Amino acid sequence: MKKKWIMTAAIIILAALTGGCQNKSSGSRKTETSDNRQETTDTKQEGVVDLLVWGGEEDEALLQEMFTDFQEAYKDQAEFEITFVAESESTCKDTLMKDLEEGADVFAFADDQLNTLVAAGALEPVEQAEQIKAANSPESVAAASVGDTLYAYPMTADNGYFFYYNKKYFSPEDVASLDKMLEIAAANNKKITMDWSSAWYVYTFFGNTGLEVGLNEDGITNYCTWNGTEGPVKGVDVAKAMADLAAHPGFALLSDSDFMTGVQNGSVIAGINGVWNAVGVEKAWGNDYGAAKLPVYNCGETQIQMASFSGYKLAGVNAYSRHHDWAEKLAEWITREENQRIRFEKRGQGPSNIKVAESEEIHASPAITALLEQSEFSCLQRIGGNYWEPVTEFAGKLAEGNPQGEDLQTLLDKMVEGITAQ
Amino acid sequence: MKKTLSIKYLLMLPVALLGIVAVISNALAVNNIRNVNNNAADISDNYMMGKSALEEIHQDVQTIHRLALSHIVATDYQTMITVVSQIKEKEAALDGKLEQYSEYVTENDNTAYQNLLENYDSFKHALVLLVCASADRKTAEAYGCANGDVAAFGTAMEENVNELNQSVNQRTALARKQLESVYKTSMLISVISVTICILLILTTVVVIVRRVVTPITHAEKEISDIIRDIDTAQGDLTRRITIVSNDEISALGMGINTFMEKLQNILHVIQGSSRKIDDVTGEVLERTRTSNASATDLSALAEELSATIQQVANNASLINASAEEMKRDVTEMAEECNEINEYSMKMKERADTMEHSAQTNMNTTGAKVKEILEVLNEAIKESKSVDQVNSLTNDILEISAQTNLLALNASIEAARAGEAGRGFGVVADEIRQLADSSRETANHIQEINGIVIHAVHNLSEHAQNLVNYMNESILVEFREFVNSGKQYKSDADYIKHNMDDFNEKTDKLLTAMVEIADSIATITRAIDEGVTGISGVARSTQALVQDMETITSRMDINQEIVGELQKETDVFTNL
Repeated sequence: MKKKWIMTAAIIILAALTGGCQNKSSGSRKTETSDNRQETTDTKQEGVVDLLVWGGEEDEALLQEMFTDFQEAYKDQAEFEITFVAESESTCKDTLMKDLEEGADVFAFADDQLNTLVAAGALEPVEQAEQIKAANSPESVAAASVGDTLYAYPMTADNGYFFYYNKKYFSPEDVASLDKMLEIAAANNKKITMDWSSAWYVYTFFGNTGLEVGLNEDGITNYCTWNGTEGPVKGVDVAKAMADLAAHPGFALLSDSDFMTGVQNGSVIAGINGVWNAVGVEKAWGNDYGAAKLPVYNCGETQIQMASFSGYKLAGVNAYSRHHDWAEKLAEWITREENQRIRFEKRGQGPSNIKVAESEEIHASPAITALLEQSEFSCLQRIGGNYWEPVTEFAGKLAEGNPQGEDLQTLLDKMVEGITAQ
Repeated sequence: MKKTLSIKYLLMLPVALLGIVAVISNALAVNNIRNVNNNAADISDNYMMGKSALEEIHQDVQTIHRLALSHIVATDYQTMITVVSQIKEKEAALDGKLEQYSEYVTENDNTAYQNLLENYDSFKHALVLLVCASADRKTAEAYGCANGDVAAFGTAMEENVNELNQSVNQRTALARKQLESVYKTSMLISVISVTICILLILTTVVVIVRRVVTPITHAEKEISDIIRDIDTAQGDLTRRITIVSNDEISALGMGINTFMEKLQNILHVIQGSSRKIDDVTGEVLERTRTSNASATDLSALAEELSATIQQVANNASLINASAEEMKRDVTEMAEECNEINEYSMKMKERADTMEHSAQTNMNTTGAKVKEILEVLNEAIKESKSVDQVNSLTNDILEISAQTNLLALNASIEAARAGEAGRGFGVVADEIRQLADSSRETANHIQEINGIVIHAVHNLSEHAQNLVNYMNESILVEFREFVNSGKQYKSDADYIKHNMDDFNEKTDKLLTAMVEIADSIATITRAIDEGVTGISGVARSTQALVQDMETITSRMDINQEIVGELQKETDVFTNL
């Protein structure tokens, strides 16, 4: 009995000594980790979801309506504070690149900015990619993708330009020729307008001449033959036609907002512009409101069909958004089928959504019809960043009537040099 | 014998002490190992891993910096996209590592750690600006950022990491010192424990040799001598082992002596008993041989009886077979009798039916004949009215003669009237022709009526003949037929009565035959059982003979065993 007692006591002592020293450290560490995790989750659940949205100034009212609907739809899940700040889709990338982390959580931008934004890490692949791809046209999906990866939400498929004209002055036959239109405008002491401060519109003169511009395989640099001296149409012919046009009494170079002012005060009776002003123009001209594809213009001794860039407007979600999940939901919301339909109804903007694009209302819109007719003579805007400044500078000089009398070929060479710079 | 300390206590005391020392020594060793483990874990888990984590953080910062530079020099967007995603992956990993490193941060290091985190935030912010400028092809701006903020915050982070590293190094050195101190203490405790254990082991060995090994060796030698004597047939069970002390070993020696004493007594008993067994076995052998002969005779007798009974059984089987056959015959006879009986019943039913039918037919025919006779007599009576036709035709003939005459007179008168009576003359002529025609017709009727009257008279006569025939012949035959039916019924009743008697007797005969057959079968079974029993007796007797032989052989073995026992006890010269 005594032996047994001693053995039992020894085993208990050993077990206490060996077992007691094992659990302490690992147990306490686990608890600590778990507590930390819980703390993080609690922090995420607290507070108001504040989201900053950038969009076109003219879209503010429309977007505010969409925000209200969005907040109503998700009111059970979160409290929102959505702030709108006007930022043109065309300048979105430039503003964003200055301070990406403080940029908008959701922003609208033109599809040609996609590569830069993705390369800067401003956009992450879209999580609901398959759903978005299925709902929108393949072209718009391609414009929102790098390779096969979707980085943004297609919002419109109308980022191109065409001619608005006042039927009181022009017949449908008149709008087939720019020369004819200029004559009528001059005779009525009115103006036909374009905006050369944006290189986007300047492409219209070179696009169908056989002279080329485009993006190299690196996706950054450009190739350009706009200073070509051989072939049926030379670069100089185009430059001269532009200079002649700028000097024509029936022609004026006006910015986007000035164009609308002219339309409203009656001084402008036709102009090259996009669907974003369709509602405003229609309101101003009423039954005289007309839209048509771009006309032919006189280039040397040849009538050239005016070309255009086409593109898409996309909604992006800032990769550095503090509420990235909610920002994604909001981007999806403002680009979904119902809201693309509302966007067309209220703003006349062409939808990228397949179902909305197939509706009868879309096909009855003059602006969208004109855009579709022009699409035959347009190309998807894929151009490197070095394109814009040299072209704007070149067009600016011609708009001013080449005050220093520089040789047009020299001006062209300089522009091409800038466009193709590495 | 003087009273000495028990060997149990002498052995247990040093062993128990040894055990206690071992337990204490182990407990101290475990405690020391725990201390060592804690210090080593601190060094490896906190300091070494912390150092390693700091190194990884440092490496990651440099890698991110390098990636940012490669983003600037990238010549296409695809490379930039790849690089920027690598930067983000690295940043995410670094975020995790910095968060994990908080586990290793002490109060003293907290400032340096917070500085590291702040610098990392600034570093990341600068990186975003760098990548944005790079992606926007603002290369100069991107390089400016890389060489400016990114480099500055990277360097600041490096300094923070170095600061944390130094702190880790200091704590590691301290932990090493503690580890060394624990090691020395452990060594001292181990030396003391080993010394005490050695002393205790020596004490135990001395005690075991003096108090256990030596007495056991002595006792073993004496036991070997005793066994050797037994092996050489000089066994002496009066010898005993020498007892020198008063402990468990001497108790063992006394136990052996007691055992030898008991063995001595047992062998005495065995010797005496084996002699007695030898005598008894001889006697049993003799009696068994006698019983064996008697059993053999009994077996032969039983076999003979069995053969005789078998023969009786065969005869009983033959009787049984005959009785069975007779039983079958009687059964068949009873069945046939039943069939005849049933037939006689049917016959009786048919006789009843026939009699009833004949009676009914006779009554029906009688009534019918009576009815026919009445109808026939009425018809004959009515046929007499045909005779009136003749008188009527005579009246017609007279009328036609008078008419003819009138017509003749009329035609004469008409002729007289001349032209005026021409029409009347035509009518008179027509009336005359009609009268002639009536006369001819009446004559013709009279001819035919004569034939009809003759036929009616013939018919009446034949009908009367038929009625007579039916009354005199057919009804008489019917009455005879009814009588035959009654006779047939009476005969059938008689046959049925006799057949019922016969059937009853046959049934009794059948019952008797069944009882006889059952009795014979019972006798046969009893004889068969008797045969089986006698055969069993014969077999049992045979088995008895064999058992007697076995007992005899076993008794022989008994005698051999007694001889062997005798031989074994013979090795003891002194018992």
